Amino acid sequence: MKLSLFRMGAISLTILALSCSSNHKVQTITIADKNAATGSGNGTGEVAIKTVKNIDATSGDVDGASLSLVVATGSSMRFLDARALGVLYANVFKKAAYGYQQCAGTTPREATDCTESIFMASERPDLGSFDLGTAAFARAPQNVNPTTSLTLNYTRTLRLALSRECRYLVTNELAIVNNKASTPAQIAANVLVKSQIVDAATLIDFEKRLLGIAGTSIPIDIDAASYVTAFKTVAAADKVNGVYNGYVDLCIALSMDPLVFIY
Amino acid sequence: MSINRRRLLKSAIAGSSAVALMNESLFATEDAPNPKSNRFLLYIHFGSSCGVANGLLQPLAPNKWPTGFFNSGMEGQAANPFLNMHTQSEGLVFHDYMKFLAPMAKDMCLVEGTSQSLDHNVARLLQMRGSPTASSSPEWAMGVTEFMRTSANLNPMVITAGTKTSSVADVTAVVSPNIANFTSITSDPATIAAGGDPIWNVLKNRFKNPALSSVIADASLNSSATYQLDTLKAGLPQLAKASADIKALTAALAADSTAKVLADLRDKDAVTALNTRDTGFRDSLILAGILAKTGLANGMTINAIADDLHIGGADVATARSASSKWAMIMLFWNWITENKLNNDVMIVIGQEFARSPYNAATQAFTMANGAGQPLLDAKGAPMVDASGKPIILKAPGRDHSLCMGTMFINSGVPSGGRIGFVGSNMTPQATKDAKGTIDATAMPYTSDNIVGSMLLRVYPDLFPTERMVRKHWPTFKEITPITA
Repeated sequence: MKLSLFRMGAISLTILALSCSSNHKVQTITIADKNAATGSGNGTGEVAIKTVKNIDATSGDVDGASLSLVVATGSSMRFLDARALGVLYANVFKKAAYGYQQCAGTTPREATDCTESIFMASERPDLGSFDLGTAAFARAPQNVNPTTSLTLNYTRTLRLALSRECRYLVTNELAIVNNKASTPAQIAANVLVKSQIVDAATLIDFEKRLLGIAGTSIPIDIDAASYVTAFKTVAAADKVNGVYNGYVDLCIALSMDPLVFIY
Repeated sequence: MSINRRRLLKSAIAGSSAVALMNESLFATEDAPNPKSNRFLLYIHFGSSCGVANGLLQPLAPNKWPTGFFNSGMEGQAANPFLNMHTQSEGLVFHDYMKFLAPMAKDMCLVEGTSQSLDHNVARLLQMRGSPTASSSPEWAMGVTEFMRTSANLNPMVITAGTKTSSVADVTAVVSPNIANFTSITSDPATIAAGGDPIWNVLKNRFKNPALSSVIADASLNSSATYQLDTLKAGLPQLAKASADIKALTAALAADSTAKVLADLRDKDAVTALNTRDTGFRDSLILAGILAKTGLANGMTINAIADDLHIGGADVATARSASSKWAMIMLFWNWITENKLNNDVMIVIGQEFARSPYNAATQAFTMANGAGQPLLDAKGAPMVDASGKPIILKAPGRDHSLCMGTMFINSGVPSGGRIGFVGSNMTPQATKDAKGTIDATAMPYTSDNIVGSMLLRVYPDLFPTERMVRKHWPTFKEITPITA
């Protein structure tokens, strides 16, 4: 990323993230142009952003004109909208021939309604997504509510859509596991159901796949051990449907973990 | 009002330090909200509809519209003669489309002020949340709901599509237009598999300390998520127990009930026809009433009218539409009063802005009743043209105006009060009292000060000090004629 800052001397623009309370850390980003006296290094006058870890007072910035942004606790918590969630859920939920499960047994108005999102068109406003030109969009972009609030509609709609997909996923994957003709490779290709019992590593792999970081060494904490214990309890409570029930609820719960939709 | 803590604060050092202290959840003991009962604020938005026609701009005396209300700089009357026929009750002056409100004027107070903006999107936010941006101050209903938070109810509910702000992090926002939808939204036991409680308990714990890498989580996140997951599983049993109340309120607001209210209007057939088709607003009022009585929620925002009639018609179309809404509001208030909720429920009816003097555009209306017969004028004579047919009224268009009115309904408001006034050439002015006496030395009133002052007066248990109003609306200054 580059910035155009012409005819300026040694530039050091520091953005400090400060807080009223003393327990907030101070982050400093400094944009520095050491070659500004003769233009930038590439001759375009553009300046590369460099991060300096020191605070403003010790980073060589002597103009005293720092830009301070005051961040209040919790004020920056936001929720992914339907479009963003759709990108993540495409990592774990497979489409059927007709698309996602919102279209099972129905004829969509538009084919893309089924293939673009696990959410029905009517559900998407509850998750902060609006289509331009509709009445819901009202007069101007200012009227679109970003998903800054954990509304009951958001939680309910999210869980409803996940329920559709998770029941489909668990039904299919459990069938593969229960089929004696299935090869180890076929079972390994499942994203969640690897056997009649679950282990922590499988759950973490599922979550990392969902978050788009499968195969990386990035650690995540989803309290997988507690989920394993809970699954055993649920599975043992119903000898006929316990495993299915446990996997369905595990799938939904993992898919609506705060790591997934809060940013 | 008697001497109270907020008056002491005004003159004390604490007053000057209030701004610094109000920022986070640092409530002094004297400031802490202490709900006495189930408070409920219902905000009804009348959009950008004409203030003259919708009743939010009123003259101080019958038949004396201020100069410049219809043609710039000129004395004049409305093109629709029914807007010039007034019934006065206490300080309120209702035109013919609203005259049925006269008996409840004792529970009403009209405050007029400046809209501060002529832009829909800015004025809408200003009048709905006291700030020109959606991110800095909450809607009125949200602010009241946040202060209804108790140890037994950590996440009180509010019905609105509005965005939450940092001062109302604990409230549970629900978007719902009616009882059936609300019942559906608050329950989905079949979504999850049977017997999964142990798994859901793990998920609830995940919200205690989610260790989000990119953001600081709200302190209320765990209780919000837990409340919502529990609610979805069990539904709201209070709703099932409220079936008798739902039935009674539905009957009270039914079209035949409103038809009786509208029976004395000159233009009753047109308004009644509109009212019969107006199921959306009726259903939302029923939801609001049930939520208020059961205590399931503490606030609701309803968008009732949108009218932006530059092209003509405000005098007739808006008057009819608003009349239909007011009739239902009146019946709703009667039900609230019968159920002894008239001190707990406050209805606030606001708008983005009123509308300018007439422009050149017009829209034609045949002033006839449902049978095609001419309507009767103030003297009871048929309104006919030279050929004896009902007159064609050309209702002019109106543009945006820098003024607005806000009506409050509650038994604790200044009874029949008129505070602030939009006078000649639609200029908003402050008043010295609740009778409309102009105070030329003061600035015209703004929405944050208008609603904030009324909250201080009506809900002293939730807003014991000015500081608590500023918790949500930082620029608040008290309007003495409202709190006196």
